[in-house]
Amino acid sequence: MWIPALIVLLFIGDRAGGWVLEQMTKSSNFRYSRMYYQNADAEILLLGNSRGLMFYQPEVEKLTNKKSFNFSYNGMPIQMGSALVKDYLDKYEKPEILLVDITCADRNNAALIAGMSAYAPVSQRLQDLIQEVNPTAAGAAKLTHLFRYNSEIWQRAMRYIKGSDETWLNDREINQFMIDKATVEKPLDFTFSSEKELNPADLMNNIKSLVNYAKSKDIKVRLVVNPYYPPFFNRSNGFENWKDNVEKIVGQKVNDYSTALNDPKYFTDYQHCNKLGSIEYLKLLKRDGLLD
Amino acid sequence: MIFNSLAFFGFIAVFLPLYFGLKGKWRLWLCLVGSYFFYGWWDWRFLSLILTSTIIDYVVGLQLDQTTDEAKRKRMMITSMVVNLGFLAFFKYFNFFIGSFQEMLMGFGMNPSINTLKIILPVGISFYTFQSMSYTIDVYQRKIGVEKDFIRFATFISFFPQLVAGPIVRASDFLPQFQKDREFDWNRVTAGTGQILLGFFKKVAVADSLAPFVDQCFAAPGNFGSLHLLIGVIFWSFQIYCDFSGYSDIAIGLARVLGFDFPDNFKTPYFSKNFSEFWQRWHISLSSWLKDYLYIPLGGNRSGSFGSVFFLVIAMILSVFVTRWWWLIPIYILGTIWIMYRLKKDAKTRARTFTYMNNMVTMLLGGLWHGAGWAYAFWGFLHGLYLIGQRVFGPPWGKLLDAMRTPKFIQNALAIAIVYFLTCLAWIFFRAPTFDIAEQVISGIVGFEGFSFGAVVNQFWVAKGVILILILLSIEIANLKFTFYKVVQENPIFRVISFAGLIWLIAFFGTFGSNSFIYFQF
Repeated sequence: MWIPALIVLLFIGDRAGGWVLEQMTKSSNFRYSRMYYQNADAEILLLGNSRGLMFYQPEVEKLTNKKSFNFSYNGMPIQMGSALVKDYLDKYEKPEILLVDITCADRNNAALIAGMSAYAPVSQRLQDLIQEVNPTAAGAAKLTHLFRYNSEIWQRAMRYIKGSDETWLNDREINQFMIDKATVEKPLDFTFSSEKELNPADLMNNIKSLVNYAKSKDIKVRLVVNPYYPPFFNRSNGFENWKDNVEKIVGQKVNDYSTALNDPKYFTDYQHCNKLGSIEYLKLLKRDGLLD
Repeated sequence: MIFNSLAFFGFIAVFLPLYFGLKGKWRLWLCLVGSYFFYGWWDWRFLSLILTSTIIDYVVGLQLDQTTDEAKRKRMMITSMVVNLGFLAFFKYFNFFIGSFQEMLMGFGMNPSINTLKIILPVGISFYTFQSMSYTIDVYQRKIGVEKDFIRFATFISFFPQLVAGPIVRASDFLPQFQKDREFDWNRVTAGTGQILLGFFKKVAVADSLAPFVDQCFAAPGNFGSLHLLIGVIFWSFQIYCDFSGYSDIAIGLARVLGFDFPDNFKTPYFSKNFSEFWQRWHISLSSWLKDYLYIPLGGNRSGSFGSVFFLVIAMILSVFVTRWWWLIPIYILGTIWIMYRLKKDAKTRARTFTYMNNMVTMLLGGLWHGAGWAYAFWGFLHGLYLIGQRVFGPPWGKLLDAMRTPKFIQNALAIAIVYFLTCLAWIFFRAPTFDIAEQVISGIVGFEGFSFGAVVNQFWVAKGVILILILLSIEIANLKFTFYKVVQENPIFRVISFAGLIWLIAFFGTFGSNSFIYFQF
């Protein structure tokens, strides 16, 4: 007797809880909530992983006088970015520019992709992607609606339940401890070793597919490499080769700003600029015509 | 195979119907084969170790039963100890011994080049070795009868629910339960399922959710401020508790479903008011094992032994030369003078001094049982110190509070806070990969600098961690009043609500990725 009662209670509680969490997600000011449930019209689209947050939106809009929308998210792999941008292009008026920091195509991140379950009910592309990279999570999200919201991405949506996320950026200065360790830290590796679970062909094809999709909609696509902290980045492995591969496969120039900024005051850590650095970097992009 | 993996759910889905479908000898065989399959899933080669330990202790048990020649009995018992501890020493401590010896020689100014070996630590070796040893010692001491059925004995050693991370079950408790078939019992199944769900909540939702924040703090403490590190240490105390007690809950619950009763392994340890109580609430099966098979043979709280003196001297010498903390020497000299002075006094003082020594030896070895490293020994040393400190300063402290007419509940709250604080301090050494890192964590906290969390994701981890710890504490507080599985068994409404609640919590907060249990490495 108690087992049927438990099943009924489990189901009702799960669906009721899921519904409440869905309403909260819809009302958030977080980028993907705005994009899927509200209005996110923009003329400039910005894409990257956490390094894509260097496309500091208030400054982009100040320099260009154009509305921007940033898809970037910590650790975002290109497959996820590609699905999001394509969803956007299907839903909204065509923007002018798509600016992509291609270093989001240097790794996979199945856990983060699974975390997009909160938005999967309104995106077939996300559903397919989650099913492809993490079928167990896809199945679990169908079984229990509470599980859909068990992710950092949803927590981030709750973080922006009130305020805007357009100023999202780590704004502190790199500390002396990190500066001292920059030359002994494990270097970045762009050589796609199997231990990183990378499939280089897949990643490259995803950039290519995204670029072609955007171009088919008559959008100007700009590929860039955002700045790294040079003493750290100069020890990385295989970067030039990797960048050449991207250019060859995608058939488009990559604008390399990896060592464009030198002063430690521009960085929050080895891979991210702070607000000051981001503003400086965006000025370079403007100077070089990449925001026009 | 670990409990929080799909492979385990597949295994148990096949095992349970077969288990209740079979009777007698066939069921025992199923338990044995199932347990070996469960262990072999990780690395089948190490099944030979369990099998060897099992065969030796089985044969030694039979021999002990067949002879009354005490010298021969002693030889047999020593053989078993040598084999069991030999395996443990080789697989777990070989590199530690070699490394410490090398460090000690370097302390004398030499520069030896001794190679270590690449040895894989067999999962759970410390648990099943202790379980096996306790059987032989009990048979030797004629506390229990010999087990003549090899299959039954082998199942006792390898029973999968508690094989790799305990609880360490005594032969006297467990073997008699194999004497008759355990019937399918709905009450046991519901009670066991409740405990399993609680265990999964502790492990998958609480422990694994706290892990990323803790890992970050102990990886590079120099990057973080005081508040960040303080929260990291508190989270670590709950992570290790939930990781380990979660495993125990699943193991005990699973055994209950199968019809067996295992003793409790944790009883709300962070509500302990002193350290003796803490060790009666934390990893109870290990602390009672250490008490019965180490502390009491060393002399307990009555007398000393050559063993405790010998071990303390070795520990003092090694600790100085390995850590090269030369300032320890005057402390040790003063300590030795103090001990010798007290040993010359009356019988009561002598007995107390022996108690301190035996406490220290037991805790040091208990620390080393957890891992082959000086940090674990230091963790044990701190707990030894706490136990001694409690005996020395506890009574005058209590009198002082009474004299100040401090209300009892404040005294209790203060005692709980002090025990928790000191336990956390010791946990830092248990978790930090090196003494250097532990020092950085402590100096980072007491530096009182930096009260922000940096990246926003840290705020999520903290918020999630705090919510989960509050939920856990409410369950723990309720557990002080009643036993969860018993209420689940008796009250169907509570059962339905608590099962549903735990499943919702696991679905919403759980971290899924088959993260291993911390205690597997012990």
